[in-house]
Amino acid sequence: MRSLSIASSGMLAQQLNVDVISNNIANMNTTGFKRQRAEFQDMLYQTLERMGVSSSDQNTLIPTGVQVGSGVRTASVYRIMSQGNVQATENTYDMAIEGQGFFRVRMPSGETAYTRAGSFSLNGSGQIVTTDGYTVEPGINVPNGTTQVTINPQGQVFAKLAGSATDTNIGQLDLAAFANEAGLDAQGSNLFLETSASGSAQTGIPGSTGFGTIRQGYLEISNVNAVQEITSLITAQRAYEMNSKVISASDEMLQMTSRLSRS
Amino acid sequence: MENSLLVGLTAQMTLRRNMEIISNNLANVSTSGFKRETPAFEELMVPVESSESSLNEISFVRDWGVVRDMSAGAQVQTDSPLDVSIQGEGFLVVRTPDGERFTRDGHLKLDAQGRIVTSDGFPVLSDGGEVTIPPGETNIKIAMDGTVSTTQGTSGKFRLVTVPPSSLRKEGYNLYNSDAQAAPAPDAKLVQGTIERSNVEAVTEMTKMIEVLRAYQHSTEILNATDDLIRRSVQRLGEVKV
Repeated sequence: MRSLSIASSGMLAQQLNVDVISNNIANMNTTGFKRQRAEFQDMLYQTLERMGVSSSDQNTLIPTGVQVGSGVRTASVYRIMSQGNVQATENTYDMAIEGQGFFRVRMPSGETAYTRAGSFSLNGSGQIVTTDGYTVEPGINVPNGTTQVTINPQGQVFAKLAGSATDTNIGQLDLAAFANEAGLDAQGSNLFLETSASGSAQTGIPGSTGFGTIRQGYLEISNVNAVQEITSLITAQRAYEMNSKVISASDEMLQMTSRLSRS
Repeated sequence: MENSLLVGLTAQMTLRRNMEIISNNLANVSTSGFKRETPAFEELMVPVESSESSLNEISFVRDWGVVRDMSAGAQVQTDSPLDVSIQGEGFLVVRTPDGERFTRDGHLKLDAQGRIVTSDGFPVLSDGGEVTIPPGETNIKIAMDGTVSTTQGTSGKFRLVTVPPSSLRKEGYNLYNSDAQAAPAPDAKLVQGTIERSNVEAVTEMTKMIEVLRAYQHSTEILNATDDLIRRSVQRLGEVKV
């Protein structure tokens, strides 16, 4: 019976939906996390009787044919790149991007990864690195004896050295932007990689056209909306349940058929 | 006598197809822009072999079509600026490798070239072809009439069309095909930041499912009873009386 496989496609889709929602809820407090959404499409249709064929020689047409669908498929799990809330942390190397753009991170493999999680710190040699210790491009070294570091919205990094009255410009942070941010490849650890779907990275100075600005001492928290996720969770769970009911009903019908030949 | 077996068989066949359609509706309860379907049945009169009795025709059941309920699904608010729902009758036009197709699924996306595409990467067409968003643009505005604009000006105006409903064929992937000519839809409006949900009502479908299940049960019982009758008549007639 086809309704068994149709309902199982529905159950699988809802299972994935629940997986995506639970990942969103689990990452509710992850810095720079962007929530995802499962999107579904109907599967292929089998046309048993074509609409529009003539039903007599008087040129009367069949208005609606018989088309039976074969279930549902997941079209995409789309990442919604909307801005998350910005939270004050008063930490020198915490940076939030307000607007579009990603920080560039040099991976140990030599690749460039992109992140919006700006919870940075200094490593042993005074370089600005991510929580995993990867260098934040273009690689800014904070000199020894620095008492205060200031990062302005345009990404310029100033160090106030001990015994000096003025700040010294020690570097410029830049941002990367993509034509299609949702097409980036998530690597975990808040990192993304460029793909052919995202388009190539365009780097630019924060605050210039198409790029956001940097807020020092703030972190961008995830854009997960708890109420929305819980509502979707309930809907997904109910849809799962209903599809399972279809399976048991189809099973019952099959059982009746098999009981026909009892002699 | 075997006629009732055949009648029961046609009933079961159509009920099974009915069940498949219900399960497809329920499987697509979260598919945006999905339109629910219901099978339509008709009575098929067939003359019986011997017409000596007053009953000289029996009626079979046959499904002659699947009726699509094109009513609007609920609109839900989302955060995404590239989510649109169509208010009123109308479709967006999508260019696929096989030609132009129609959709009401408003989960639009950008591709690497900045074009507005569907989940499958097919461009959504405007009056002048594809709609491309200039690079680095964040502030995408889609007006009620389908005009897409950014801070750098207008990028295009989505085509909104109507197609005679009876000519629509579902192709899966939330796409419809039609042999008829598409006409502009003056009444259709696009609402940005919302998505049209599936118009499947779970309660209705579940009720119909129970109905189908019970109808199937009844037809099975008829088949069983007929089977019994045949068996018993064979047994009785075979008994030799001394």
